[in-house]
Amino acid sequence: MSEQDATAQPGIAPTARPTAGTMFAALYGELAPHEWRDPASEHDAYQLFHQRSLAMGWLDDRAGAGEGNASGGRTHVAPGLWAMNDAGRGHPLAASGPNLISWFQVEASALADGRSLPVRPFLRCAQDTTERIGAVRLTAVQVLLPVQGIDASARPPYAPAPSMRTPDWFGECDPRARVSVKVRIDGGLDPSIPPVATRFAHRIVPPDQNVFTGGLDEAVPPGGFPPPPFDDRFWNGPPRHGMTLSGELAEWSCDAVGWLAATVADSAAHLGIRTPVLFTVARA
Amino acid sequence: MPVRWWDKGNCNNDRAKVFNCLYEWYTDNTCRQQACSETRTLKPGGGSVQRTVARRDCRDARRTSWRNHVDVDVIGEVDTGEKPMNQAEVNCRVY
Repeated sequence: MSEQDATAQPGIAPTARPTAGTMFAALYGELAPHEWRDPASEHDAYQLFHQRSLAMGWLDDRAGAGEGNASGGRTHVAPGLWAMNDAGRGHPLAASGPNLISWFQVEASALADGRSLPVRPFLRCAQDTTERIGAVRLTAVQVLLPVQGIDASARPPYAPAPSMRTPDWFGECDPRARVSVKVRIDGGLDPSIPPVATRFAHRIVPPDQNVFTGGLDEAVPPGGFPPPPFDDRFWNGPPRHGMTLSGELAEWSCDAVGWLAATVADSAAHLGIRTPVLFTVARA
Repeated sequence: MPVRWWDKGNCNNDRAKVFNCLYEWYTDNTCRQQACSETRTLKPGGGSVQRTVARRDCRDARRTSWRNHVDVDVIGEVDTGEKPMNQAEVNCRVY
């Protein structure tokens, strides 16, 4: 370290590892804690989410790794899909959120060219964590998508929209599991979504998939979605410029919501949107 | 801002005195301490009860490198004295 320079400013260190950006998930609904669980248990959302992410091999350990191991050799640490930031059950701003039952914040690692934002594994861990705490009845899922971290021009020809490689996972869903949903895609103060809403919707609902069917629906009021449980400065908020769709989802699961969220992020990046996007799905 | 816990590793005792401090990175390649937690006696493994938290309010949301320095002193054992430092880029600037 050199001596302090009075003209120096805070900034990004040259050792900074590139990342896609901050991903935040909020689950809304009802949570009935398991009767065997101690309300003061140390096994809280933070600890459970961290351990679940680590167990699945999705946690990026590199930020906290030392330079070497006890024998003086080099430590090889795992890259992963995200690094842990925080998680909890109470509202992170101590506000009275509408049925917020849990929330999770991670730093998404830089994306491989042929991969989507890891929203499905992220929501898998969020759901597993919340269900470890209690019985869950989800009414809405909200995800802040770091679209600015997706380089659409780097997509390989075989995966222009990587999530579109996996809709068949939902092909064996019980047809009776389909649910009506409404979807809000919001760019906050950034006005770039409304002018491309029609093309955006066509990308999200192409004819060769059945995971989500529907279209733009201007009759759904944006105020019918829960406000995000974080500060406006965190993402260029508040919610303002966006679009709303209504339709059917193959099943009411975090997995299906995650697929749709990844598709929205891929589509937004292809349309040149370079801002965090607040994505919310609620049961209609 | 970041939180951090200790892992037991190969230590025998399961209690350690732990604190952490947050450093903001400056363009002169210095890291300037902006907050430290209290020292607490903790078990390993994390969870809200088993954490130390250093907090500062952000003055603006410009992206900045932060380093979190954890000091772990396992009670009753001569430990390695390693002080893990992790770095994250956060939309928070204090000055």
